[in-house]
Amino acid sequence: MKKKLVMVGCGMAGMKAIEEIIQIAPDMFEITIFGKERYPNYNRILLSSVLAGDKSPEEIVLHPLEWYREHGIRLHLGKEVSDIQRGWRRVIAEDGTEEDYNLLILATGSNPFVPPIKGTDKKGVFTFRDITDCERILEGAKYARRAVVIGGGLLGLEAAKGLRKQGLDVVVIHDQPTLMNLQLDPVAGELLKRELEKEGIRFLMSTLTDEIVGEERVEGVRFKDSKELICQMVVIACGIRPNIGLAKKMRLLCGKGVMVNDYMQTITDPSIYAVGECCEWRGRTYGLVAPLFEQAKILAYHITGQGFKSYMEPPIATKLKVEGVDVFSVGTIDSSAGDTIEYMDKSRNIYKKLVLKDNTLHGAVLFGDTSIGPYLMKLIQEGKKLEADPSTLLFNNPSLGNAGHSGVSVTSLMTDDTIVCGCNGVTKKMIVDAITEKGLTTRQEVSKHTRAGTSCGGCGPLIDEILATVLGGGFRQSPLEIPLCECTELSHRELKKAIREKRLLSVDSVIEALDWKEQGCHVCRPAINYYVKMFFPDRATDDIYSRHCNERLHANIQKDGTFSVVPRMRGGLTTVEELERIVAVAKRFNVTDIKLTGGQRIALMGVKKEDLPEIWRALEMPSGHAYGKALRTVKTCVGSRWCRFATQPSMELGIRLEKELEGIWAPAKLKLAVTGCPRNCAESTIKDIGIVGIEGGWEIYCGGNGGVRTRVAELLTVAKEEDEVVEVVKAFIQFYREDAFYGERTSQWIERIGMEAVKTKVLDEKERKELVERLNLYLSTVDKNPWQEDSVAAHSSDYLTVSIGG
Amino acid sequence: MEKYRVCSTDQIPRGTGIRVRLKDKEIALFRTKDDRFFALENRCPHRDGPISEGMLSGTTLICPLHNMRIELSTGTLCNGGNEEYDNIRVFRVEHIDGYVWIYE
Repeated sequence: MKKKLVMVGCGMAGMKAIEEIIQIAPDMFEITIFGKERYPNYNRILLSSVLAGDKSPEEIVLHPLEWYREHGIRLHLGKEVSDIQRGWRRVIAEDGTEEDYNLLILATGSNPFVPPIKGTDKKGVFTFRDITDCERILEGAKYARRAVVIGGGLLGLEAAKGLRKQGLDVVVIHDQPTLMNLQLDPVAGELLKRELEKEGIRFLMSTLTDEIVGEERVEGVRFKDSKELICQMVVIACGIRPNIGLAKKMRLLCGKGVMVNDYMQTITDPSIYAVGECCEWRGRTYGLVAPLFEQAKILAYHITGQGFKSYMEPPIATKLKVEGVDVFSVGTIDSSAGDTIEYMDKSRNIYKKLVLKDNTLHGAVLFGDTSIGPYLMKLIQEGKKLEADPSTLLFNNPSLGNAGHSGVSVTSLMTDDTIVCGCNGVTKKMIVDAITEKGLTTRQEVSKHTRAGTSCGGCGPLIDEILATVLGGGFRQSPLEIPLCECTELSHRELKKAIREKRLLSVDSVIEALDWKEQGCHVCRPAINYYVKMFFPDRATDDIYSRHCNERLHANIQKDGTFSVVPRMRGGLTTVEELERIVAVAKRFNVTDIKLTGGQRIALMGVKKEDLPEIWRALEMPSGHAYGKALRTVKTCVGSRWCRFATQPSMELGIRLEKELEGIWAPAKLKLAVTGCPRNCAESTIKDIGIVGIEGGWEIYCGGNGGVRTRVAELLTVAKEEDEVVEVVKAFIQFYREDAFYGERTSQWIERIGMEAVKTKVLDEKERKELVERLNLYLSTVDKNPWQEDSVAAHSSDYLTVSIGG
Repeated sequence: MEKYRVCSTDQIPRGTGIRVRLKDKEIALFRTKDDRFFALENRCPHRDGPISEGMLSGTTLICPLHNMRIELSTGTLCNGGNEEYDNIRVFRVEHIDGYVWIYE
């Protein structure tokens, strides 16, 4: 008969142990798991993303319910274990559920530590530890304007970040002078603080909280110096304490945590193991995922009778991403513990510090650029004396010299067994093997196959580099200096320069003149086709067979090979006549799905290719360019023509802009919006160009994006007259057309070149006039409506479907 | 095996493809830049994309749905996880006196 294995707790460490056990001995145990939360094992590291609204609780679940079923594991979810009778070897839950065990694993995790502050029982005070906390905080945030976060450690900062994203005014109270003082030195702490201040988070450092004040609800916090700060909610993030209530009740020996030996068995009872944050090993407890996963492996090894691999403390490295900033810390970081080497690049906000003793590396702090982190970690682990000048460590390995591009050197330094993903213990070799054996080409695929990067995600850039090393040209990284595709050695920058200088006027001439290796592919040909026309609008030829079929056929291909048809409705406005024609077409061609698009237009779905020309003819409406790297729509609110709040005629301006700009092709799609007042009903602030009407003028924003990575648009300028708006918008679009790389959205482009560069160019009167002139010249050469009969007739063979054989 | 006349060669611009319906089958017929003709089932092995609308690079076709690469002469996927997907059927083609013929 199978042995009964029961685990109390369903968190990351415990589930890692179960995963390992099943892998080693799938049929050894009958496994039962108790979890007190509503959700099965989820990625606690990503709770901050749930708080920020970037992910739903379901999305961070690591082992969905089917997983337990598939592996024959009985899962008692939402049941808190209230008692364990060691004599009977029986686990009893609050609701009376009982399970007998032969072997037991305690994986009860930890509880948030609430410091002795008065008033922590008031409504509106939250801890931040699990999904339920998250949900409560989000609910509380709806009614709060300002939130105070007590604790400036990792958890506190992530909570602050999430609340800021929810639109709250956030103040972080930290009792130390340095943020994340356990992992960062004062310099790095200060850099991080400045970075977060840019996001609008405020800090009170070296400040002790005395009391949370208010009647029933939080109304503010009072500090030891008697000053007060008004707030409507408080989040306490002052660290964690092992959850050992149950262990104590079972009379297992506890210190800070449940005491375990080197095989993760409790010292008191060899049939009971403990793993994760709840256990104490040689006087130490851990809260980071990497050492805990290591514990999980040791436990699995021992419990399945594989022998006596014992737990050895790995060097604790913290690698985090706080508000887009990479931070890495490993080993001893206290400067007084040895000699230090420091490097500071204020222009790029990069800081690196190494701590050395007797020429061996003992610790490091990296801020802004953490790419050498894993290599340093390995050096610390090995504890060898450094042979070369240690300062060279700061800038990758000098022995590589100028070979290859800078990014590759870091991972090529790694030996096969170097851990890339500390969270899941994935080595470089495992990743390389997966890439070569399974033919992987993206970070997501590598994560799927190896689990690397699925926990904290901090190793993502390293995975990219390994991909780049292994695949060479098959992997795309930054478009800046790497070759465009396999057909050429040229980067976008070099290609553009060559086209302009050699005055190349067609795709074929570029391929011929610039030594293309192949005939060009889906990556390079559309780019070349765009660049030649951009540089020489009146002379270059547009090779439609170098465009994706959507742009060639002027409709958007769908998964079943049919197309969607989206006619232009300027400013999101239509008429009775247009609607009647749309209805007639839908009936005649059996269009089953009629979809209102995000751009305030109507899409007819499921149209056959050969029907396209006839549908366009019957619609008598121009193409909406909904299928191309082109000007899409100008979304508008009703504005001052109807709205009782609006100050400006947004519909009218939107329609005018769309009329003047339609037909423009760009490096990537362009989405615009105009709203009549700052209430922003047309969502101007997440558009490539967004216009917001204000009293007496218009604000012009640019570089917004509502896609994969939401980005809020930045203010470019304020214009008084509509003519001026049109001029600025035209100049901006032309500068983007000229300067961006093909495929780059305005948001990515602006992040690359900086808003200042855009302002300098577009707001300079002379430059602006010239930009507008060039755009107007280009506009005079474009076909504003490729759906009209003449345009279609010129390419009739493209819509051809031949029927043969009766 | 029967032989069907499809269309005149100049109805297919070089470096492109057209859709051909043969009874209940849909066939993609391509003409490469160097005037070779290929006919395949109009279905990408990956997710059944209409390869007739893809971009040609030599005798490699790039599917418009997910940029999978298909070798026209064999009907196999060039990139990634070949064993997971079936090849697609390749039809025999001829072009004589300005007309393209498919064998089925």
